[in-house]
This record gives sequence, structure tokens and C-alpha cells, in this order.
Amino acid sequence: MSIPLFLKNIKNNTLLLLVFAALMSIYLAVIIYIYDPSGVGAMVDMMSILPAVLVNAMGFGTIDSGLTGFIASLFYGFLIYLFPMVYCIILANRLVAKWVYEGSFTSLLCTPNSRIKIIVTQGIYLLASIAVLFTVLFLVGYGMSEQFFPGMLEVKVFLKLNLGACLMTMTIGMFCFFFSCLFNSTKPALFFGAVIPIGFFILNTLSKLSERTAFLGKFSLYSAFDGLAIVNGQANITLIIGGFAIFIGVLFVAAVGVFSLKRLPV
Amino acid sequence: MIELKDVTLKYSSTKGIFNLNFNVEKGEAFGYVGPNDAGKTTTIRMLMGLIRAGRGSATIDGLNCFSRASAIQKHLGYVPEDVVLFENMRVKEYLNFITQMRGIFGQKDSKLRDSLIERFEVETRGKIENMSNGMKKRLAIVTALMHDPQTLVLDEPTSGLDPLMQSRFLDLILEEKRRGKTVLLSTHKFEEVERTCDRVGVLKEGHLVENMDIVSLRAEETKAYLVKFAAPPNLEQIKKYGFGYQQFSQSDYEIFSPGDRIDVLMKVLSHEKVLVFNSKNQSLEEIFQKHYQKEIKPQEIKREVRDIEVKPKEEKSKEVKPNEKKPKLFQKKEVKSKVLPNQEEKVSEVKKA
Repeated sequence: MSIPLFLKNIKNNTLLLLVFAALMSIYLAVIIYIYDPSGVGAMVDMMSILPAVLVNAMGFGTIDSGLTGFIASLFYGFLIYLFPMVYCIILANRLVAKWVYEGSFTSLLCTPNSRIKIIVTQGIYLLASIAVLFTVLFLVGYGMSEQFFPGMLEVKVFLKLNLGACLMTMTIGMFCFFFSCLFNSTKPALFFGAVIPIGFFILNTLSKLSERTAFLGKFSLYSAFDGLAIVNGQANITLIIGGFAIFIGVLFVAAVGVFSLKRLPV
Repeated sequence: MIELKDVTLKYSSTKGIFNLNFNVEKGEAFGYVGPNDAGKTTTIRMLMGLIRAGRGSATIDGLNCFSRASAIQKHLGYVPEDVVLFENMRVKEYLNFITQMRGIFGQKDSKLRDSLIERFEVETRGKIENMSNGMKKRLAIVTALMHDPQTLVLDEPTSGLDPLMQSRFLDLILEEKRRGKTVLLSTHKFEEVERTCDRVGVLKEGHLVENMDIVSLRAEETKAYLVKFAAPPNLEQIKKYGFGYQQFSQSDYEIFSPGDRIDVLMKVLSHEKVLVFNSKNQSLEEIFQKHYQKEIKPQEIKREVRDIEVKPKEEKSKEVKPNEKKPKLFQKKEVKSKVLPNQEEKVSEVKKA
């Protein structure tokens, strides 16, 4: 890994990270703030107005009465797919394809650093920044809960929830990163980097609509992460994390391999 | 030392480079010329490890250009044709960044860097995105040379530079060469090759059609001089010594001489009353025309010169005919000769200032 390049990445992309961290933190804070320990009455009332199909699709189908379950269903059931997905698409493009397309990547390769070293640095930055994003989320969630409902958050479960979501986002990020390394131009890199996670998202949403569409979930990476199942203890978190880690590893190696062999544009 | 052995890199059946073989020895400057799209930049990008050769081997100091690119870069300076830098960075910040990327941290000796900045008058305040193309090129030159590399790979390094900076850059190349550096210079300007290079390779449609040293190139080339006489010259004498000429008016002539017989021409003309004696500024295309058009052999050019010589007394309208390409060349040359003196004046003005 190249440290100066890593520092440059931090400088270039901190604003992007801050924007997403702030947006998601505000959402999470508000969700915790509106929690009503005496029962989720108001929320359930509100949900009953909406058509059941829509509520299911958004992942709000079952609202757990505990604080952790409440956060899991409202935040880690729907929003957790969207915001990080956009972050990954933008960041992966900025880290590789944009520089290659512009031509400034050449100035990196005209230093005594191998392609592999440079691209590994970019990949590590992607993973590290996602880790920072979820660390922030965990701290905000923990802080808000302790502030308003001391002792009610199951910290261990909340940690598992964040860990699972973090690795899922990293996997999505690696998909985008792979396409960013594969293409020499930003357009196809952005297109494929966006189509794959959006496709996963649509499949996941459709699978929740009814029993008959449930099979679609098998094709979506997002289905592997079920916030409520983690809270209920139905999901094996080790298995989820291990599965995602394998995905991340394979995609990372593929991205580095593709990039280190390809013809850079003249 | 740069070494290419049977290197082939295809984009399509006609585009790319094919079976390239040449060496640039240590301490040698190699001029790499050829028309647009001949494959010069492709060759250079292959040497820089940005694209892999399909067949054959390309090495710099014995290291494979693709697999050992990072080791090669330690002792290599590269000036690209189109300079793209990190636009949002400040100049100092960029130079520091590249220095760090080269593995040098902290305030080490930056004497060389500072002297280059001064020499090329690089504006170090401000962002790169606000700089002109010429300034970006100068910054790229500083970046390429600030670590005192052993090998220099230069892809049209002077394009976009003003004449003063071009001249300074060529001086620098000469200095570097004297210090034993290996230089590969891709260019369109013959003056640059003439001034800095020991050997020239001509690339055409991906094939190296010529690889010769500057001295023999000079001997082979046909030089043209514009001469104005005070009295009608002794044309018989000029013809006798094997020089061709073309008459424009009573007193204006263009005289052709093989590159290795200029001294003889001088002697012949010393018997005439010469008012003006101008060497024509020949562009690379003109001088290398026989190489650029592969079919034409050097002998044929000499024959052309003799053809002109055989029909000196024919009407002017016919005189233009012998070689249909000539009229075009004349026009080009005239335009060039109009532009160049001005530029030279500017240079001398600036130097005085």
C-alpha cells in the first residue's frame, strides 16, 4: 500500500464521506428519537394506514417492540441499502475510472509504484472509508440510545447489525470497484457499478412483496443480510460475515488482476 | 539502455507497432520521428508499461517494461505528450506528492527541483487547473527530471512551449546527455533532432523504416538554398559540379546540394557575386520525405535533383513540373520561413531583457 496515495485519497474524498455519514446519522438519530418504549403504537398505527404490500416491500413488515428491533426494522431494513449504495458507486468511480479516463492516473504509474500496489491502495481506501462510515453510525446509534433510552439498546446485537451491514456494503463497494478497474471510461464503469446493486435492491424488494416472489431474494445479495433475523437471533452472524468476506476477497483479487493486466488508454 | 526486440503491439491489422527492433545505448540520444499515427506514442506508452507488448521484448536497463515497470520508474523520467495532472492540487502540493510517491519523505535535498522550477519559470503558487497548457508542460518537465533520472523518455516534450522554453529545454537535454543520460526523444521538429540526437529512427505505419546516425543522415539529405545574385551566375559551372537548381527570376535561384557537398557549393559560389544566401528551413517532413514515403529510395531523390539540373533552360511553367510534390513544399516552406524569424527575434529580445 502506498501511504502518500492513501493520504491523497483521504483528502480528495473526505467531503463525500462526511456528507453520507451526516445524512445517515441524522436519519438514525431521528429514528431513535421517535422510538416510544411504551409500545410502538403510533408507528404501528401509521403503518396500518399504508397498504400492507408497500409496508412489506419497505421492510417495515414486522416492527419489533424493543429499541434494537425498532432500529433494525426501520433503519437496517431499507435505508441501509440505498445510501451506502450511492456512496459506493460514486466513490469507486472516483478512485479509479475517473483518473484513468482523465489521464491523471499516468502520473501515478510514472512513479516507482506497481499497478498492483496502487490499485490495492485504492481498494483499501474504499473498504476503510466504509468501515469509518459504519463506525460513525454505530457510535451515533449508541450515543443517541444512551442519551434518550439508557440501557435499552442491546449493544452486542447492535454491533452485529452494523458489522453485517458494513460487510454487505463493502461487498457492494467491491462490485463497483471491480467495474471501475475493468473499464477505461467512467460511463460504463458507473453504469455497471450502478446496475448491479440496483438490481440486487429491486430483487430484494420484490421478494418481500408476496410468497410467490420470495424466490427472487435468492438472487439478491441484500437478502443475505436481514436485520430483524439478527436481532431475533435467527441469523448466524458468523456465516453472514464469512460469506461477505469471501465475496469481498474474490472481487478484490479480480479487480486487481484485471487492472494489472489491462491496456491503459492512449 | 533501452532495447526493443521484435516488438509487436496490434490495435488492428494496420494500427499499432510491428516487429520493432532498436536500441538506445547508454549515453545516447535517439530521435524518434514519424508522421502522426505512426505509433510513436504507442511505443512510448509500451515502454512506460501502460500497455503490454503482444509479442517480443522491450527492456530498459535489462528490466521488462511491463512486469518491472515500477523498478524502471525509479531511474526514469517521462514527459508525456498530453499532460494531465491532478487538476485540483496546488503546484507545490503536487510536486511534494510525486516526490513522496517516489519514496522520498521529509525535507530532503530539493536543490535540483528548485533549480528546475527556476529554469523553467514554473509558477508554484496557485492550482494546476488554472494553469495554461504550456505551464502544465513545464511542470511536467520539472516532475520528470527532479529525481535526476538516468533514462529520459520524452514524447513531444516541446509542444506547447514558447520558443524560449523550447530552447532552454533542448539545452537541458544536451547537458543531461553530456552527463551520460540515455534519451529517447519523440518529436516532429527536425531542429530538435539535429541539435540533440546522435541517431534517428523513422517510424511509419508502425514499422521502423530507417535507423541511422545523424552524420550519415546529413550526407544523404538534399539541402536547398535560396540565392540572389547581383549578376547572372555561371550556370554551367554550377551544373558541372552536380548541383541542381531552379530559377525564379533573373537573379533568384534555389540551389540544391547533397548534404555532404556543401563545401563544394561554397567554393563554386565564391566565384559569383552573391547578394543573399539563405538556407531553407526544412521541416522534418521535407527532409524525411523519402523515409516517410517508403517506396521512394534515396537514389531516386538524387535523380530528381539531376532531372532538374538537366532541364535548366526550360520555361518556368515546366520547371515546376519535374516533381509534382515540389510546388506544395515551396508553399509550405515560405510560410514557415515567415514565421520562424519572428520567433527567433522574440527569443533574442527576451534574452536581452
